[in-house]
Amino acid sequence: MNVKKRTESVNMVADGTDNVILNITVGNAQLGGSLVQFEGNPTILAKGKVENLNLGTKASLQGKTLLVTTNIMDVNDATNGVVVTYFFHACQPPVVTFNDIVDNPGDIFSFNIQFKF
Amino acid sequence: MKKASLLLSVFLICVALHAQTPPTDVKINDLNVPTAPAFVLMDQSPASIEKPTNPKALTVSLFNLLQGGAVEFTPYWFKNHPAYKFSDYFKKVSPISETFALSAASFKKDTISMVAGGFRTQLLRLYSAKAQKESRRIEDSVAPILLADLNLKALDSLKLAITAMKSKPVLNIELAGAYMGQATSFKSLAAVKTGAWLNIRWTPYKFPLDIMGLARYSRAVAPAKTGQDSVFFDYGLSLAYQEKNFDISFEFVNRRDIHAKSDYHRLALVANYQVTDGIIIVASAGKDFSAVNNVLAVFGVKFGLSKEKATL
Repeated sequence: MNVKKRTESVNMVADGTDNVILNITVGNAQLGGSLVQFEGNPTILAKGKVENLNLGTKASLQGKTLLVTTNIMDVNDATNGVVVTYFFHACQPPVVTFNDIVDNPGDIFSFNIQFKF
Repeated sequence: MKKASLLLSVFLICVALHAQTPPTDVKINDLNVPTAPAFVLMDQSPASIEKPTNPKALTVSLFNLLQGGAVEFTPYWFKNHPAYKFSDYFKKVSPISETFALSAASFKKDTISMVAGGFRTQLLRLYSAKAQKESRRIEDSVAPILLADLNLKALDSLKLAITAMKSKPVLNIELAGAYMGQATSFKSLAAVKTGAWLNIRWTPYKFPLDIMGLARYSRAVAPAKTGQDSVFFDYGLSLAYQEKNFDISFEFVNRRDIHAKSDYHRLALVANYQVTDGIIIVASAGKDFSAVNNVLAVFGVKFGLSKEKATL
């Protein structure tokens, strides 16, 4: 079982009056989980399934970087493709999707994403 | 000389595929390459009653290496499905689109070449409430081993448990169909036979055998006489036992020749043995439908290339 890694960076703009909310969906019937924290802050905001995670107001997010690690294990016999979608409420872009392929069945793909506000 | 080159071909293919796919400790059902419907219509498949199996993105089957082969692919998995969650897999009762597979096959006998196209899809796939609950529990609790310490050993065990869960739906109904043509040259290619059938699999709770049923209608495109060109209705039952590296099934199929108003039957013992990851040796022995030359002895090798993500 190998672990394949990919690091990405996305510029985000909080554009509403509501708090920014994060939802993460792992697709392709694969099994995954995410770890969410702000850069430079050891506090883990969420671990595992991420649903309706309140990241704060537009003002509080200004200049911060949100670090999200999503690990996906290939458990789908029909495909080696992995896909993860990050949904942000009150933010632009509202949806960020990454997809890739593990080399061998049962391998793990690790997405390390920096969301820069 | 011919035999030696054949054995050498088998060996080289085995070595090549072994090098591409590292072995994993999974059940044969997960790797078993289902027979393409096109092969089934040609009456060239080792088993007449097929266990409904989740199709792979791409599979290749060879029949006796020199006589023919089949390729099957599942269009649904040629693109990503971001909203399709792990637990959805166990909840979907009618996975028609995701299991819809197209196949093409060819088979050569003496100077006649047969080609066929086919499809199959699962109309119904029912998992127990316990399996559905377990899938949600796995989805919710995987974080500690997948994120914190990335416990690879625990993840391997989890993958095996998921594979075992997936291979045991309580009830599975698959619809398949194929259209076949034959020719001695490309110009003379003409449609000869078509058919559609249902494969039904029932796995009673804590019962060691799978019970499978078949209902198949096939007919010549322009039926002229009885025998190979006639209109048939096949129905039958199969009992299958599965172990880690092999499965064995005993099947009985009755064939009703509708025009001739007569019945034939087939009795067969079918075995699949997993040589290595993605390579299955399949053999069947018994009595075939016809009244003469009816000794059934089929041997073949099936290669699953499913683990690679297919791209167009």
